[in-house]
Amino acid sequence: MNVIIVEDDFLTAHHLAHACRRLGLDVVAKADNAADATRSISEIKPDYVLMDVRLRGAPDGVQAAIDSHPNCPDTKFIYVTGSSEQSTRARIEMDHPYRILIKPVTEVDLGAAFD
Amino acid sequence: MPQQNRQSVLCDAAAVIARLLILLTAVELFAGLFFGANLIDSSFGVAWRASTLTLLCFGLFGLALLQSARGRATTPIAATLVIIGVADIAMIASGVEQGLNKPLIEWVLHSDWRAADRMAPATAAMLIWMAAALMMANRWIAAARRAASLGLVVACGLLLSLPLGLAHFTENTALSGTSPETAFLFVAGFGGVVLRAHSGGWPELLTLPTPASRATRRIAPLLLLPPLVLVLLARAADAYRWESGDIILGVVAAGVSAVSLALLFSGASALNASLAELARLAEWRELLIRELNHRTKNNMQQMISIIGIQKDRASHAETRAALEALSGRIRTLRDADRILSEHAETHGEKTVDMRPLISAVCASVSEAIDLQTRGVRLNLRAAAVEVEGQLATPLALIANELATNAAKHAFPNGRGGRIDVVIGPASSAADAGVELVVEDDGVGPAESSTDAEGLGRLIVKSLCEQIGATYADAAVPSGGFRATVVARCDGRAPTGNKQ
Repeated sequence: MNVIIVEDDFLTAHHLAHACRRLGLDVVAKADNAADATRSISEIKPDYVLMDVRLRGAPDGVQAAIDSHPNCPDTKFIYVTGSSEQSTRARIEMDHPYRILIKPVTEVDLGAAFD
Repeated sequence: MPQQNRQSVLCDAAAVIARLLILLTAVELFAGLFFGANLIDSSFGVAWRASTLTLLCFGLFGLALLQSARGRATTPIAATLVIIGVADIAMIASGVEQGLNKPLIEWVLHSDWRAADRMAPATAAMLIWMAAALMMANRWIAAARRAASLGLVVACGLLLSLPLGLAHFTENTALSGTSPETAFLFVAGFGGVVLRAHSGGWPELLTLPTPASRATRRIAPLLLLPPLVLVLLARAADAYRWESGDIILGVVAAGVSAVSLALLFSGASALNASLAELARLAEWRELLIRELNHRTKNNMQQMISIIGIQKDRASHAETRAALEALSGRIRTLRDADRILSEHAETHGEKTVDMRPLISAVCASVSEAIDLQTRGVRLNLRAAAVEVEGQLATPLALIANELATNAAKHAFPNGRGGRIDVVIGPASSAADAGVELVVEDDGVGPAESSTDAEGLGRLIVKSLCEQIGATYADAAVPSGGFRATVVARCDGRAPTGNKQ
């Protein structure tokens, strides 16, 4: 199984990638902005995407996910966000995500999310 | 915010209509005087007379509300109730007087009589306003804002029909100023004045260079002069066609209406301005909290990421174990932060139920140490127990240390077993207390201890001291180990023995 990590914080992206590898997933790409994310996801069609909501520049991660869906209907999107407030929640829910993880997440949380 | 813009447009529109109405009233009065024109319908005078009483009542309400806004709450409430009572009696008396020569059924159904109980909605609306002024709570303010805008438009519409001579088309009490709509909107207008008083008071309203103050200063003389001029001219001019009683009532009515409208207008403008300011502040504060929240979470994420990366690079098992323990502690802090902030958002109380937090700690320990594959069951038995917010995080950290310790050391060499975590009200304490028990059926207390275990014990001991909790541990006779922590729910030192 493979995963693409969309995250604009370098340390967090690095850590998530490590954690994913240890959980037996293949990290096939990383992106820190919506345009790169949409392109990679559409090309690779991964099993999972770890998606941050606030990315470098506009649009946000939810838009990137929505833009990617037509090209990869089977990809499961796991949102990893630092915003737990209602408005962001509602925006994510609109995309019917596979999972929502609220930062900070640890390897333990990731392991449970991929089940 | 579009909602706010709409409200503000409504208020502005109402203000324009109010000015137009005042101008029309003046023009019509002068036209009737100088040209002897039949512009003034006979029902006009009647309507004004009837509405005078009501306007006067509302004027008195306004004064009472102002008093309440200045912090003298009990007197105005009593005064207002008296005023409402007097107004009711006056209206009932008026109905009785007018109905004396009529059949009983017509008297009962008489509109003036019925008008008395229509004061009830006005009373209710006024109490809402008073509460808004006294509490300044956001949802009251929001309700008041809607009421003011709605009331203004309805009021202006109704009053506009008087000088336009539409009164006889709609022979109902709405035009006499005693209907619930009219009552409500005047009360709403005065509520605006009350809020104005909260943000400065009358001297400021009349002297400050704000639009509301300017408008009040400009309108007040315009409103009061025509009726006065009318009285003087009426005595000299033969063109006067009214009964003398009518003109006096007309002058009083015009004066009272004019002042009321000026108050209504300036109060609404001021209300709008102060509400917009309040809304802006609330929005700003919310944005700030959200940003702070986001930053906290991201910082914690970076902390966890750095520890995770460092753990991956560590070559010694002991270093990895230490970093893993550190991760566990930060995870507990995170769970506590998450549950406490969610709790504050949804409940806002000072106490919090420990169950979800201890449950999160157990899940985290179980996952981190992979208890399931090792054949160790971690059972949580949690009963509802509310503790002070400040106790929640230390208790969660203690639970994390005790459960982690049991998971790591009680079952060496592939030994299976169980760990019971029990949280609930303390059974022994006389005061309201919380009891946390972590018990395992493992190999019992360790003979020797490493530095890492020492740190765990130090954390438990220090935190217990911090929250005034008692700590006791003992070997279980049937094999295993039990640690018990008892704290008072309010965070003060327990009355029992302290170990």
